[in-house]
Amino acid sequence: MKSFLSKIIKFSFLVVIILWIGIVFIPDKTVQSSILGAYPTKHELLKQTKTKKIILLGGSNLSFGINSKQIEKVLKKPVINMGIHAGVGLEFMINDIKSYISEGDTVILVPEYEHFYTNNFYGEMELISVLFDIEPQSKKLINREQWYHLIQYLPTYSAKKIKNYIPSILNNKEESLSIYHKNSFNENGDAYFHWSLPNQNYLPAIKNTGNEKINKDVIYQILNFKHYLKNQNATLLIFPPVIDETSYNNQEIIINKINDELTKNHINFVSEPIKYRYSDTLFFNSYYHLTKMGVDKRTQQLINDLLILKSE
Amino acid sequence: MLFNSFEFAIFLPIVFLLYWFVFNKSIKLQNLFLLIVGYIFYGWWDWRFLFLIAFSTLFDFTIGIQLNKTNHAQKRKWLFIASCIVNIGLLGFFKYFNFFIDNFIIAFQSIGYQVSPVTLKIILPIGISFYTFQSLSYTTDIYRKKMDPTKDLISFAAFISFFPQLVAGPIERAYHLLPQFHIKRYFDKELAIIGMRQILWGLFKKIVIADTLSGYVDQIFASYDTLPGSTLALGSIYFAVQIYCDFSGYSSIAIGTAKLFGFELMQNFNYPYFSTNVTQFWRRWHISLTSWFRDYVYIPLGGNKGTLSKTIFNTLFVFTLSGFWHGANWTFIIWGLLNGLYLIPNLIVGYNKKTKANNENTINVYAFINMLVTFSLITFTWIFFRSANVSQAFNYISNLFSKSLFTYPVQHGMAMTFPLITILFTIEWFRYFNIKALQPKNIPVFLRWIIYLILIIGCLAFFKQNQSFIYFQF
Repeated sequence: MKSFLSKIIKFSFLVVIILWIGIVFIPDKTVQSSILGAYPTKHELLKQTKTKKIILLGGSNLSFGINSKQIEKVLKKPVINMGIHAGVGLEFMINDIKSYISEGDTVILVPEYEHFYTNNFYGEMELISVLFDIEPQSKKLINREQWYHLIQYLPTYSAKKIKNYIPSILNNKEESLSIYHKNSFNENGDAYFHWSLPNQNYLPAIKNTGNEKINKDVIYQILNFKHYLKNQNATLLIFPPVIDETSYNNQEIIINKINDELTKNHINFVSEPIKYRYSDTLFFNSYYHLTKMGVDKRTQQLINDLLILKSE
Repeated sequence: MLFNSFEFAIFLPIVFLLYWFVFNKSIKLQNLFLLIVGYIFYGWWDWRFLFLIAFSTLFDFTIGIQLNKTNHAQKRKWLFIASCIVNIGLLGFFKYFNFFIDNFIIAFQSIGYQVSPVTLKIILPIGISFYTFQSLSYTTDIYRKKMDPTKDLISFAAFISFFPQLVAGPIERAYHLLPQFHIKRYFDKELAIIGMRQILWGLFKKIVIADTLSGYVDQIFASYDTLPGSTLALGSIYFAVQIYCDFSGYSSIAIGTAKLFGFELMQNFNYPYFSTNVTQFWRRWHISLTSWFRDYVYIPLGGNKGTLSKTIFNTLFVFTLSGFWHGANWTFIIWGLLNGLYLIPNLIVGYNKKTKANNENTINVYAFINMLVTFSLITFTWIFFRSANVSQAFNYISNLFSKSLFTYPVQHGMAMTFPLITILFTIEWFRYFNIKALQPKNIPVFLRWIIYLILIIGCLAFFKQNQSFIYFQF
C-alpha cells in the first residue's frame, strides 16, 4: 500500500506542477484574440465616455444582439455595449463596471436566464481566461466565494492551454477576423461581423426539469447593485434577454420563476420576458445570438420600451 | 454523482483512504462502509429513491431466506413469482407506465374511442434497470438452487448498492459478486494499478472521445432534415463511436474503481467493433446484459434446443425485450428487433454451433471486410436508438439514402473527430491483438508516465461540466 500511495502522490505532484506551469507560464493566444480579448478596449470606451452614458450589461445576448448606434441616435446619449460572454458571470460583470459609473449614467442590465439558476452567475472558464490572460488586475474583483466556484475550472483551463500551445507555436499567424474575434466589435462594443452572414444551425436551450431553483445570491447582488447605483445618482433598468421561441417554451417554467422572484424583490424586468421571445428564424448561431434582422427588431423594441419609460 | 465530475474526483480518494485505513479492521466494517458509501453516492443524485433501493434489497433478501427454508415446490414457485412481480412491477411502474398508457390511448383512438389521458409525472430513478436485474438474478439463482442465500443483510445490501456499478452496471450475477463480499479484502497493489489504468482509459474514452462527438451528434440529429446524406452518414458513425466510448468508458471506470476496493467485476465490452459478424458483436457488446437475457430469458424459453423456427422466435423475442429494457420508446423496440433479425442468417447456417472455437481474433482481408460490414449494419441500427421517435428515425434514414449521400459532407468538426477516432481504433486494435511490446509492463516507466500524463491532460482539456453517461437514462 505504501509504495502504491507513494507512486500516486509523486504522480499527482507531477500533474499539479505541470498544471501550474500551464496556468502561470503558458500564454493563450487563442483567448487573447477571441472576443474575451475585447475587454481592455471596452474598458477604455467606458473610461473615455465621461458624460451621461448608457451602459448595456450582460452576456452575448447583448454583444450579438444590439445595435447601440441606433439607440444612441434616438436617445442622444452615448451607448456602450459591455456584453461579451455569459460565462464571465453576472457577479464579475457587475463588479467590473462599478468603478466606471458616474452621475447620471443608466445601466441596462440584461442577464442571460442561466445566471439565475446555474453557477454561471459566479463565472466559468471564460472568467478564468479573463483573469489570467486578458486582465490580471481584475483578480482583485473576485471574492472568496467566487474563487471557491472558479477553482474547479483551473485544471481544465491549464490543460486547454497546454493542448493549444503546440499548435499555436506551429501556426504563429495572427488569427484573421471572424465572428468571435476581439476585433469583431464596432466602436460601441457591438459584435457586428456576423451581421452580413446567414444564420447557422444551433441547438435550442434544453427543457427545464422543473427542479431548477433561483440562486438567491443573484437577487442579492442585483439589489446591492441597485443601491450602489442609487448612491452614485445612476439608474438601473433590468430587461429580459431576447430568446428564440423553442428555447423560451423549453425554459418557460424557470423564466416565470425568475420573473416572479424579481417582481417579489421590486427589481422587475422593464418589459415582460414573453415580449422578447422571437421567432427561431431571427437567431444566428445560438438561442441568444441574433441575425441582423433580429438585431434591428430587438434594438427597436428596446428603444420603444425606453421611450415609454422616459415618458412616464 | 458522475464519474466524470469534480465531486467524484474528491469522493473517490477519500473513500479509498477511509476504506483501507479506517474501515479495514473487519469484513463487517468494510461491507458496512461500502453500503453507506453506496447510499451517499446514489443519494447525491436523488435521496428519495434510496427508499426504493432499500425496499428492493430487503424484499429480495427476505425472499432469498424464505426460498431456502422450504422445499415445497409450489411455495418456492410463489415466492419466486412474488420477487418477479415486485421487481418487474417497480421497474414497470417507474419506467413504462406512461408508455403503456400513451399507447393504449392511441390504440383506443384509432378505433374511434376517445379516452382522457391519465399520464403521471414519474421521474425515472437512475440505475433502476440495472440494480433490479442484479437483484432479480439473486432470487432466480436461489430458486434454481444454483446458490445459497446470504444470511448477512449488510453484505447483501452492499452488493446491491456497490457504488462503482450501481447506476449503469456491469449487471453482476449474485454468484459472482456476492461471495466477494463474504471474504475480507486485502490491498493488492497490482490489482489497484490495473484498476487505475482502467479508470484513466475509461475517462479518456468518455471525456475526450464520447463527449467531443456528442456535440456533433446532437447537432446532426437535431437538424437532419437540412443536412446532406453524407453528413447524416457521418452522424450515425459518430454516434456509433460515441455510444461505445461512453458506455465502455463507464464500464472501464466502474471495473477499475471496483479493483481499487479489491473487487473483480465482469467484463462488459470486448472490442465489439472488431466483430466479423453480428452474433460475435452481441457476444462482445454489453456482455453483462446480453448474458443476463441469455441465462434468464433465452435459455428458459428453450434457447436453441428446439426447432429452427422456435430458435428464431426466441432470439427475436429476447432482442425485442432487450430493446424495450433500454427505454419506453418504440425506437428501442425496433432497434432490438432489427438486431434480432440480423442474427437470423447466422441461426440458419448454425454459426453459433460452428464457431465456439476461439479463432475469432485472426485477421485477413476477408475478416476485415466482414468487420466493416458488421460495423455498418450495427451503425444503421443506432439511428433508431439515437432518434427521438420512430418517424424521426425513418426520415433520417430516408434523407441519408438520398442522392446527397455521395456529396462531400458538411464539415461538422472532422478535423477534430477523425484524429480522435483514429487514435481510439489504433489503440484498441493493438490491445485487441495483445501486442506484447505495447503491454504496460513492457513499456519503460518513464514512457508510461508520459503516456499517463498525456491522457490526464487530454481528459482535463476536453472536460465539460455535467456530461452524463448515455446509459444513465436507462
